[in-house]
Amino acid sequence: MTDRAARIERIRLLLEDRRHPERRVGIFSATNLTRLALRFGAMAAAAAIVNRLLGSSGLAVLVALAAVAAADEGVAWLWRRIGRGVQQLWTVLGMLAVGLMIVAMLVLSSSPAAKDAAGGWWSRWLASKNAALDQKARAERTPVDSAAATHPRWRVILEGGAIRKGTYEEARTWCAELGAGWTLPPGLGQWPRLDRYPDLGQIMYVWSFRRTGIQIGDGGPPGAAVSSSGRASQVHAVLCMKGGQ
Amino acid sequence: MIGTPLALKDADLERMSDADLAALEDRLLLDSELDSSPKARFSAGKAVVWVLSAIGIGLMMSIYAQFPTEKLGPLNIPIYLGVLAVGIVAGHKVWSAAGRQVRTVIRWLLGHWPAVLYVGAQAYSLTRG
Repeated sequence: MTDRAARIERIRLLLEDRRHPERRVGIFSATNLTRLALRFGAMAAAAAIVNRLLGSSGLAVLVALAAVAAADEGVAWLWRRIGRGVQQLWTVLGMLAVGLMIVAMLVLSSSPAAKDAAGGWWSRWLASKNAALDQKARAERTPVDSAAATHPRWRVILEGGAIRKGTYEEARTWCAELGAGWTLPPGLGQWPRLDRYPDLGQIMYVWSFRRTGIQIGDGGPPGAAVSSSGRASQVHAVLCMKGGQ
Repeated sequence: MIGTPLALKDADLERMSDADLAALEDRLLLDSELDSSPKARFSAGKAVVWVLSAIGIGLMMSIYAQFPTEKLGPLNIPIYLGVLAVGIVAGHKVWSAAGRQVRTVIRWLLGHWPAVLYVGAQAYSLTRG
């Protein structure tokens, strides 16, 4: 396409844009984002290929510039052919999505059984994702110096030289197993004054007696707390305190 | 002579000289860039107009700050809004008065900003390395 023909084509598009403002594509619309993804993807691929083949010399910069410009022009050429189709495709997909949502809402509102099934499915999916996250948190291994995790008044539960994480119920059991008087620590603000606090090399949450998570680990008294998620499978590190309650 | 752009047909475009086509394209782009309606098309030139308007507002505000505004009383707010408007209008006027060549070069550079950015970054790394 000559410069003149390309300019006439651009003017045609600008005139069409003026005559039909309803066809304008929003800057954050799916159509425009698709165009940008294509454009930047093609340019990045062109630059990466040249960089891989020629390195980063002065010649490579010039070749990469030509390749990036060619990729940009190529996408512009392609978009002139498929742009309207992509816009229509996104419109159809949007209508389908809205239609599906309306159908789903109608079904859910008219059938209590379907509503229960959908709610149950959602709850089970959410529970499985949370359980997987809790399992991952439990499996994380954080090695600590056992001397830094032990004090006559408190003890961080370890397993094989690493922090042992557990649920609230497990934490209570592990503290009880240490002997009479060992319990979970009190809530934030109710800690006794101690001559030494856990210095574990990193901040972490431990269970408190109030079922909240208390932040410890920096060698100082706990300064923050987080409320429980309510999940029975939620895990935290475990610190037991003698005469904590 | 361009005439009313919306009345132009394809055949009219084909008959126009290169210079008239360039002027028409610039005029259409400029109209779009200066269009302040909510449905106006976003373009690189519009971004320039926004930046120029922001600079205009900053300049006008720095001038406005020199005056003892506490003595203006109830006139303070309308004058403040007027200064804002003058800054915005100044930004638009600067872009429309910049000339076709300047606008064309800036549009081209901004239209190819990834390539321009890439060249700039490579040039910077070459000069440093």
